Amino acid sequence: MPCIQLQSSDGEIFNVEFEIAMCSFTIKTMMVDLDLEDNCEEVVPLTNVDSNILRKILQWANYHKDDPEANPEDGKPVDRRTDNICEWDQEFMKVDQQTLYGLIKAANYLDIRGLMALTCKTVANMMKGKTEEQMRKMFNIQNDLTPEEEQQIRQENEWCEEVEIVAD
Amino acid sequence: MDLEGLPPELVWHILDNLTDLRDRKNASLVCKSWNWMLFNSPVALCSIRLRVCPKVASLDRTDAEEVFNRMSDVMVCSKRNYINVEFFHVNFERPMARELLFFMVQLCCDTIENLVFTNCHGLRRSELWQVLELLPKLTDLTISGGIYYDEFDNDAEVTELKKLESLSLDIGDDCRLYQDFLTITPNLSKFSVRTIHGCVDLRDVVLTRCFSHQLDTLSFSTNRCFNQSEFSDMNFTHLTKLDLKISGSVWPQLFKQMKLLTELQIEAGINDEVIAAICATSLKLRKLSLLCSGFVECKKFNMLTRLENLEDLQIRGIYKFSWRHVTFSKLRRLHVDNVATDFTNFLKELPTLKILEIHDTKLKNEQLIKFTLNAPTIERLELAFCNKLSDKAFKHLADMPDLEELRLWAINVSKTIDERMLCPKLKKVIFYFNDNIEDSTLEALAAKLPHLRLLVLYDCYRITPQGVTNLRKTMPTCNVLELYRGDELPPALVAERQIYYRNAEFPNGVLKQELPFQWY
Repeated sequence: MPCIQLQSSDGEIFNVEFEIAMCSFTIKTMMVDLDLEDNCEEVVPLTNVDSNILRKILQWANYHKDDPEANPEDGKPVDRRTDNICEWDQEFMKVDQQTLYGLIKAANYLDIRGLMALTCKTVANMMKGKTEEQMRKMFNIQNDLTPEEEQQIRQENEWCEEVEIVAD
Repeated sequence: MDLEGLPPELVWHILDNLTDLRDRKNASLVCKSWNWMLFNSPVALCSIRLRVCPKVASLDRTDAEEVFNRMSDVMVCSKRNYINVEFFHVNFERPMARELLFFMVQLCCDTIENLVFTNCHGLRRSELWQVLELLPKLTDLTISGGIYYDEFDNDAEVTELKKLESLSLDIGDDCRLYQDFLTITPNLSKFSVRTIHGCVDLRDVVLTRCFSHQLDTLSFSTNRCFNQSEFSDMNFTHLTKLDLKISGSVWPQLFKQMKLLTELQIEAGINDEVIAAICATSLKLRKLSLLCSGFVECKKFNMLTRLENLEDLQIRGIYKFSWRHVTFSKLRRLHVDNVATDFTNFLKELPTLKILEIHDTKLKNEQLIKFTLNAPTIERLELAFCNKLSDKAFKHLADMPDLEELRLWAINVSKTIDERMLCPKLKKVIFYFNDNIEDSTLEALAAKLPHLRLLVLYDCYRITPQGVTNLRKTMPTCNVLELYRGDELPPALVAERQIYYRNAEFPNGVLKQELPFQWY
């Protein structure tokens, strides 16, 4: 099985099966551009990803290596349902917030769409059913709204409703 | 690192995964940037509508003028944009309402694509024209309510609404207005019109510029009758969806060109020839609703079997017919108000049926038992006003292993109905108008239906508030709704269109006072 070497920001080198590394569009493009496809000696430096995060990502990629590849240009609407996360992924996502944001950033940098969707859905699920105060506390966000602005948003919200989608 | 340590575009990406509007509204109160991101994302913009209505619950003011005054202050400060804007029960005879209209339109003129006036009054033609000219992106326009036809300066040329694709009008019987609209909308592909006396004729629609060639969706409703010759020279070759509601009979000639039709709903007098004409021409039909206003004996019913692509079939008002020799290989939903003859054998041959709705008042226990035995693929079963049914009829519910939703509208099942509900997959159950089921029934149901997520008890007078509270405790994951007519609409039931209406007093919907179906 051909491998490539990925180097994390803190210098650790990971020997990764070619097929698994290809889940990242960034790495894929890099390989093609630099013509590294049959050169296993080269080390690919990933300056934005530390070893902890990279280890997690490779674990995820290994589990999902046989998933059908999502083609972003096939015109299908993006799946935004947040209740369809598989059990393995739910278990995988039981990490602290620090790691979660690290994964989002890395998934974005490495352009791994499945992982990006999973991590973003996980954060969104944390927000579900919470009040604004609970959300601020959970994500440590400063409230920069004056009481007057808050009142205005509340009133504007009252005039906002969902566009009815005819259920089939 | 905090969430705020992420680049804003990633936070935006995360917030886009909040699909529920309630969550979105709560999150909008977290901080300024979230408010902006949540209500300016392209994903959200398409699914959110700003509904301008003379009522805001948090404002303790009953006077519409004051509400509009306050809200225009709110909108001045608003950082949001809207694609969909609706004016709901607004009386434009008030100067303040007119000001608000122009203010809102100017505020969102770069984004509005979809504009709706629902039951608005006092709108003047000249003002409406000005509004429309301000909206270069407008593609969908819906107006219900009166429009006052005022004359305006003849020099003022009315600009064409080149982008407008969809137009829906329910504005009374002043035919000058319809002519105006049809002349300024050269690229219309969807047209819906509802009149009382039929001042707009189907033929007008055809004759105004070669309209019929670009029209793909037409909805036409009037209380007028048409005679056969009026239907003879109409050419709707490109039509894919037709919704026709007329008084009196519909004539077969109308359908002779409609080869591309995929959805058809007719509410009129329908006879054998009409059914034959549809089945001979419109072979692409996926959805068919025949709501027949006259009692009909249908001899050519089995011609329906020609419609091989049919996925959705609704039949009401046809009394004598037989399902013999009728088969469909793709049918997903079936709605009947009369099971007629040979229904059991017909059901056996429907491999893809998921939704079965029977509103037959004469349905007997033995019949339903046969149906449940023979339709193992059903996921949703709805029974309405079948007053001859009792518990016995549900003996074989367990033979529908995929059943997820059971809707019983005014079915007299007893308080021990739980004994029949051996469907472990049931997620949603509705009891409407039942005087038998009691708190003990609910307890027993809770024990048998572990996956229940929504239980609606609408006008079930024997259920006590204590029983509901207990049930909520034993089933924390199930949304239990105890409702009575006249209550405000709970958000979980927004999809159940039959059971509520909206008016100026209850813009969010109120549960209907009368029976929940338009047909009863």
